[in-house]
Amino acid sequence: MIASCLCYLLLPAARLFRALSDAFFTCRKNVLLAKSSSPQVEGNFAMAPRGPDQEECEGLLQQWREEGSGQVLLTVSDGPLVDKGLAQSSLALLMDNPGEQDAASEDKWSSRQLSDLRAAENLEESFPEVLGEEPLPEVEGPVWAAVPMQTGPQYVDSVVLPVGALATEQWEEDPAVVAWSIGPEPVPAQEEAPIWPFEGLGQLQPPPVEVPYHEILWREWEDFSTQPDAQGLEAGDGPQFQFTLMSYNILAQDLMQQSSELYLHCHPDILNWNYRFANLMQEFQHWDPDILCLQEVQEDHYWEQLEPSLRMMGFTCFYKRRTGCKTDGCAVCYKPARFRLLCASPVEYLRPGLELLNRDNVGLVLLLQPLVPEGLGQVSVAPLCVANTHVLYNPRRGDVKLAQMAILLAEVDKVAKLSDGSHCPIILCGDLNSVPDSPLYNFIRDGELQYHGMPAWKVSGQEDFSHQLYQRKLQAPLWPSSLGITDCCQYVTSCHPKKQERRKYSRDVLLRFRFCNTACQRPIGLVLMEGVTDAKPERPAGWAESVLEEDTSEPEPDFPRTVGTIQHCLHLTSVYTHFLPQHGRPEITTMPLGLGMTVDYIFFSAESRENGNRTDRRLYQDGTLKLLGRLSLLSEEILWAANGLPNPFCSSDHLCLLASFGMEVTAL
Amino acid sequence: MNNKFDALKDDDSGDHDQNEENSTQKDGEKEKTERDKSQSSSKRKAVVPGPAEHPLQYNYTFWYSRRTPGRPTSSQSYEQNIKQIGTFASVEQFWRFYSHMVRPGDLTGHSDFHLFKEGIKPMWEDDANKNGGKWIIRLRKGLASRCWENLILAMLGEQFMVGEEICGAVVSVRFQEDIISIWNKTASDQATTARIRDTLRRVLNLPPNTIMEYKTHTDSIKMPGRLGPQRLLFQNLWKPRLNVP
Repeated sequence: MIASCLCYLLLPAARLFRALSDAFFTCRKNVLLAKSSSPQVEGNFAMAPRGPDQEECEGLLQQWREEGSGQVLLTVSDGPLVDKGLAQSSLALLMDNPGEQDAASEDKWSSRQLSDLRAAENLEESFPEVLGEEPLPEVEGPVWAAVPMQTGPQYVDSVVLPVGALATEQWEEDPAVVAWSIGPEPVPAQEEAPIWPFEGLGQLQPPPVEVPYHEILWREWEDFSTQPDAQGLEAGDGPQFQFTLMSYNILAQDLMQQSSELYLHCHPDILNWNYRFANLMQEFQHWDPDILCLQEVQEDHYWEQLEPSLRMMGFTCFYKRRTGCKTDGCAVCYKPARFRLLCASPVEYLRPGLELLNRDNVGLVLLLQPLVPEGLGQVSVAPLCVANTHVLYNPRRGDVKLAQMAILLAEVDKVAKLSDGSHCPIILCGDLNSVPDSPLYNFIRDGELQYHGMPAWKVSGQEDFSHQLYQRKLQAPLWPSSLGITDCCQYVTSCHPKKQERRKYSRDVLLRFRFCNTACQRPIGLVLMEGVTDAKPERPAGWAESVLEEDTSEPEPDFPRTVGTIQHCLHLTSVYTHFLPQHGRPEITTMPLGLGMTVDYIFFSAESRENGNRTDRRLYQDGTLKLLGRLSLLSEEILWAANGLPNPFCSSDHLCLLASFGMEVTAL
Repeated sequence: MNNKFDALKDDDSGDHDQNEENSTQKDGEKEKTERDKSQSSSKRKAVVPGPAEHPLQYNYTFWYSRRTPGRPTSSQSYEQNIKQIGTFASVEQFWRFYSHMVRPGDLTGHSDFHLFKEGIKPMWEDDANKNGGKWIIRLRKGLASRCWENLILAMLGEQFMVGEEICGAVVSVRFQEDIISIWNKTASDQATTARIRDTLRRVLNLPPNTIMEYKTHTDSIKMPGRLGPQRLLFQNLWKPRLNVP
């Protein structure tokens, strides 16, 4: 009896404790997010710690500090934290002034929270037994993630993001009020223990966090919008349509489990999908891009969680699963408030029967019409083509990667082609599984690649296989003509859009029919004109009719092929420079097995500039698409300090890429 | 001047008189139009690829025209100058006509073979041609048969890759030289004309220094009289000749 009474007492308390621990963790993450400025934020960024649960969260944080984990920096963001100046202030500065931060945060502690905290502390000792005796029920329903969002003119203060089965009424409440209030209203009989969003993830509580991830992984927003361009003019002095785009390989759970050896450095709890999902959603919400290009999106997660959640955030989402039995794919999401869809083309790289293209990778190409605010009057903006892909990983098969890129570039060429033959602005992003300055990278940037004789492993630059005896070499033509793509990475049929399948015959094919039976019979009704239509066909003695039927049934598309060179006519350059000047280190976007490299990119349309050096490398300047800013990447050393990727803070094995663009708006 | 007969004449070959009487031309034109109507309506139904044949992208019609030497052009009716030989829809049907026609190099006198898409008349005034033009290549004697065959095989096999732009091809047998030309719809479309030129070089195996001349049909219409015998002589002296081995 006593035991059961104790149970009743302890169970809610234990829940509270666990909830607080989770909240604590989430809170720490949020602190970081709050500190990093977002591209558009000009005003204040608020953690919006107004709901009771938020305060509890802070209380827990306070407790943790009182317990002497003082070596870890605490920067509880007290509301109006992030303007650009503060966002770019160094970590060191923040570390030098912990007292100031403390003072700021302490103002917010209410006695109630502190007492709650004490209650939790008192109960702490009994907690493990409770856990052992009576496992907590799993929450099947909504999993909630508390996510802060930017304030400022265009952003709501803070929003609780419902995940999974959505409680929409919660969504519709004033976000500022709802901020940090988690889940449904307190359930009767458990009034002491608010239901915490991560309750269902109770067992996934991350290990005690010693690493100040949010400090280490600080990423600065690099703002180019006010820098004068080459002509000394202020960029963006005319009206512009501005938008942000994120590209992010979010690490499919299935793939992670298939190659678990890559994630031995991670505590299993941070690899749990629900934990990662909440983190990822938080990142999306924090940066709040207008276009979101995702790779490694697992299909079930997409339909059950990502798509509904992104829809609630105001995104319209498109998804293309990889072919075959693969469970992941690419997604492109855009804000219908900013863009209208003109067309969406899923791209499969699989061509059955072609050894070169027998892989299941895919891409997704959208054509979006920017929606200009009415205030700008009668203006027009060109459409924007957004292409997202995840190219084959296999470091040895650069030939496959190039062929996959060729298909994507051909699709982009088709989708982005305007009636006058030029292209609308293009953004091509994703995980290309190739490093900067690799042949594949240079091909995209320079529009040309001489590949003949190149070892296939060299194409991507991921690994060095030069020591191997057998090396697959690229041979011309790189892909067969039957693919229907020219060496300029254009569909053959795009030259004549009205007819999808032209009946093409090479001279040799036509000549095979010269003396066929039909040809040797005089046409009925052919007027006999002396010296004009009185010839007679003379079939040569060795004429073999059987040859005819072999390979003419499906005439090979015949178009001129260049020798050992491929090209494309889209002028693309990278948002990132792949180097961090302030650190003197390369940027990295992923680090498999601790080896950092850049394989993710955002390429965008630019105008090629006269190259005085006459090297092969193309130089670019802004075209109709202007790069206004980007979220800085990190160096390998920094990620080492954060225990690699994924870590409790970054829930993918890749970093997200984020850039802000402006598009020219022309008056009608 | 702006009449069908002019259109049919090869302007650059022109050792003939351009000042025909319009009355006879008009009669001829009327006759021709009527005949065309009956022919085309019946032919369009009739000309289809045979069961096991290899269909072409378009149906094509062979035409033949000839100026009878010695007789003044003015007295010739249109009918006497151009004749439809036949229309075909498949590779097999093409060879059937082609192999019952003599080679251009074996034609006598002042003759032309025309091969145009069914429905397009080999004349400037046709809707498909009125904004068009043509590439002209002059050949020394002895080359016309082979070049013509290569040209029309490329056209029938859709080697030019300029969509719907190609209208047809002409080979003109003249006294001192032969001329082949290919007509397209839009003379102002430089991308198309450049692509046609490049394909011509490839399929005819032309040396890079071969002179190829592009002419819009409106130019040809505006300046019909400029092509007298003197001009031809001048050209014979100064134009480089194609050297196909």
